[in-house]
Amino acid sequence: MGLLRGLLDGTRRGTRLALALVAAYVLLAAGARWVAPQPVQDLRSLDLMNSSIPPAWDAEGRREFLLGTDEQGRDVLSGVLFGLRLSMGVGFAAVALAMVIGLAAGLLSGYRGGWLDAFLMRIADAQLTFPAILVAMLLDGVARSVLPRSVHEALGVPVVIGAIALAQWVPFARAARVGTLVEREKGYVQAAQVMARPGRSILLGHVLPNVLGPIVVIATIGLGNAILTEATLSFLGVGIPPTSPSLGTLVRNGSAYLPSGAWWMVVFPGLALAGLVLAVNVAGDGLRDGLDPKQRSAVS
Amino acid sequence: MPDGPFLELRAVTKHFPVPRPLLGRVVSRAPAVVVRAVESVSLSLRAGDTLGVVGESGCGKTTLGRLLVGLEVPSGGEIHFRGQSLQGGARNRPRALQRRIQMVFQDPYASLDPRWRVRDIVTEPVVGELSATARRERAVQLLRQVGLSDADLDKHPHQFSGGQRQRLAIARALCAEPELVVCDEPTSALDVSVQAQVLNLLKETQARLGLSMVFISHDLAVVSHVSTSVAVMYLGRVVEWAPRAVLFAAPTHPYTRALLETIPDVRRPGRRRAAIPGEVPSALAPPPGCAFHPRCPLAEPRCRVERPELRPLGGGTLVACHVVGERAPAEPPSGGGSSTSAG
Amino acid sequence: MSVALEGLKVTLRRAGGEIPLVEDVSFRIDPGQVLGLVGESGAGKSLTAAGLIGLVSPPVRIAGGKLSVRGHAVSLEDARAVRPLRGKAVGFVPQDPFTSLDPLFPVGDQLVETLRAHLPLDREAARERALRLLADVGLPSPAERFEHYPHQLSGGMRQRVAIALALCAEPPLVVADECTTALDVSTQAQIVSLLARLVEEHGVSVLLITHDLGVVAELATEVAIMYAGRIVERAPVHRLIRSPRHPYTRALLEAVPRVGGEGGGALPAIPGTMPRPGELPPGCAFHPRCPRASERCRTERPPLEQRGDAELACWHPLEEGDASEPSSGGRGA
Repeated sequence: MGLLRGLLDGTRRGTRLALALVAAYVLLAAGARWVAPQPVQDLRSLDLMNSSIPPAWDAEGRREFLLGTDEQGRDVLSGVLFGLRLSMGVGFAAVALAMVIGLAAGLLSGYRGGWLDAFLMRIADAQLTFPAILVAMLLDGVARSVLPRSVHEALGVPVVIGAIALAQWVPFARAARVGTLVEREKGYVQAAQVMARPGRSILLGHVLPNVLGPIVVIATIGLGNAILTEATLSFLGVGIPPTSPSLGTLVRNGSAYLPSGAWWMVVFPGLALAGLVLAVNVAGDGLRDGLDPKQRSAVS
Repeated sequence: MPDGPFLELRAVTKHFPVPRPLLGRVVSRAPAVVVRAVESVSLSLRAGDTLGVVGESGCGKTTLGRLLVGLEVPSGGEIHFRGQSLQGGARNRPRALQRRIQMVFQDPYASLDPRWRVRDIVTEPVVGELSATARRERAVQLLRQVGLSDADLDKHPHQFSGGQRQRLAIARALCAEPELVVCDEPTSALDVSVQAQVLNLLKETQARLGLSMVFISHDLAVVSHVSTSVAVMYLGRVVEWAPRAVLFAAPTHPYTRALLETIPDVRRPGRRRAAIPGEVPSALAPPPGCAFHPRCPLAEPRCRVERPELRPLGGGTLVACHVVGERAPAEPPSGGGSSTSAG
Repeated sequence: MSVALEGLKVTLRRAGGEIPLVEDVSFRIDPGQVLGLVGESGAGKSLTAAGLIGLVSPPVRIAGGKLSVRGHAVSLEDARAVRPLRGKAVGFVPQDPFTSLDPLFPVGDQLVETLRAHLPLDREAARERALRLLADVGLPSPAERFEHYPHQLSGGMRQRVAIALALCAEPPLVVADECTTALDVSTQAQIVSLLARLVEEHGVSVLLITHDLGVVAELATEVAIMYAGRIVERAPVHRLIRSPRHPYTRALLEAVPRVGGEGGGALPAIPGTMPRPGELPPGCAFHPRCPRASERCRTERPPLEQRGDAELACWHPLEEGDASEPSSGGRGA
């Protein structure tokens, strides 16, 4: 918690605004079930008679569908809220998983050195040569062809999370490794070795807390990437199965109807996505600056 | 209780390979380059005594300290502690044995985890062995031993000054109940008055607990204050080793004598020191024969070719020098110097 | 011409107000003289140096002070007036030569660049001058070393280059900020002897900032002791060391370990620690640690007073021959 306070202390107003925005998104998405006017998951609540209604302020709009409906009568606002929930959920989970993988690899690599370090870092290097989308598509494609349809659908979301995590773990590993190399030379780590503490305790008790700083910043920025990657995958049709649409899927669907003039189906999901990623990135940038001790005024 | 000195180093050597790219090694076929940080060091220490290890940067004293506590593994030679041979590094030594030798580090700002609280820092050696209450009590005990108070239990390191942090580091080292404490330049980063406090604390603690110490420093005056015997190192080797009083009253090795001449003496304002000509050579390419010969006023042709061994000279002194080693000992050093002043 | 500093004041702006870090620091250094400014960490000596050349940045600021160099007086609060002083009127030798030399350029080039920035010289002339400077500071094989990069030189050699850089524009005042602290004893001795020679040859005034009393004893002609941001005693070096007047000065001298002696027993240590800026006790800042403190010391701060050719800020100074009295408790906190 001291870390969090430390982060918040050093931030500027713009960052705090961005953080507040992200918090608002999180609350909305988490409470989608209660906030959304229409439970769009439930197919029985849909009425085809309500299809393609423009937003409420338009002449043909209706107040109960604030942002309009799509071609199947689904309320766009509700769709966006649930889509946000899914996009953010996948994004957070993917980043969290990438962080765990990266931390483990980086800590071990940095602390043990030797062949383990060389081995893990070469894998990391190799992985970096593949663009994240390709890695994710590859993994998803493999899963799709290997698993029977029903299993794939049930596992759809975890597969996408895993794919994105696998594409994103390397920066975490690198940062953790560098941090570990620095911490290894510190007196308190060496003192712990001299008092015969087991390596694992030293890593978890001394090294990990002290390398977390930059890791958290990478995570915040990686979150934006993860969300966008998921949206891209869904847009391309290889992401989350369409039964539970994410923002990317909504954009994909909605874009098909754009030429016919039903702009609201693509614009609102798009805006929601852009706003979220922007807020997350600005917050991440600001947190990084806030963490930098040189930015804080200090007299030694 | 096995016989033998409390601590014994027999021809301890540590070489660090200088990494070179694989291609270069294969193509040029040149022999691997090594840094001879510590070369064939043989020393011993009796229980309850303090061995001072002195030298300038690059002489290998810090590496020697690290070898003792297991942060480095010797490339050659043996370390015997209480008659038992210490094999390998901290990880390989039996836990009980490893904890008998603890260390106080140089940098008070990097030797305490900034995220830990003091109560956890000083009791880290016994984490998991004691209940939370017992641990707290132990922390209080340790803090009192080093002159800090209970109020400091829940603070973080950054709330303390350099001198106080060194006290915490000493408390932590004591928690493991060691028999030998290796101090690596513990007061070099501290102000004069704080240094005095910490040195007093070390001496008092040593007397009270019957500890033995290896005290590493570049500061001859500080070493003179705490040691029973002093070893002078140059480029990885011990060039002179003598009981404290003998070394400072009648130094024999030319390097020791020159080094004593270069200590600024507050008591004698205006006196200019005689500087040793030249600079310390790189450990990658030590001069042949006696490593000190390029800078030595007594150098003879033999010194360029043949390396002198550490030999007893009488009076408890061992010295590694062709010229001095064969002369009768105890010619007073030229120019008087600070070594004869009683302070 | 002498160099004089009058009333330097440096403050730190913090939530709740502005606290003084350095206050009322004045001194005068004649050509060829070395003033040693001694103090422990936090006493404000490095800040004094930084204040002299205007190298402070918010929230630290220079709140007052006048520097007189070559007959001109400059208000140190005025950043624009101070800038031209750097290098030309005040040379600076920093502590760590590794970070003060640009690793990307050969040392010779850095010297030439500095020379041409301060003096009207063309490349050839500047190069000649640089080579002479390098020889002057005792750098072995100057022509060869001219082309070397900082990392190819040893610590002692880099420090020599740093001294050469400081002397480029022949400033009347050279500030040496702990410039021997990072060196080995034997290299230190060489640099100190170099500085002594240069002071004699060039007739500069030197402000030698250090915590090392031994170096001060060797090189300084006069010594000023700083405590908690103020000067508490100033005297010619021999006198200060033989019979210090301020209890802090004497305690400091006694706390320095010496070679020889029996080595047993405790070093006379000063109990407690120096108060941090903003946490100064009322009255004399040293009173909580002073064995001679009286009621007056606790309430009234002693002003720095002139006593012949020395200065002292103490209500109960030690007199000559007070050496028998114990200066402080033996053990320390």
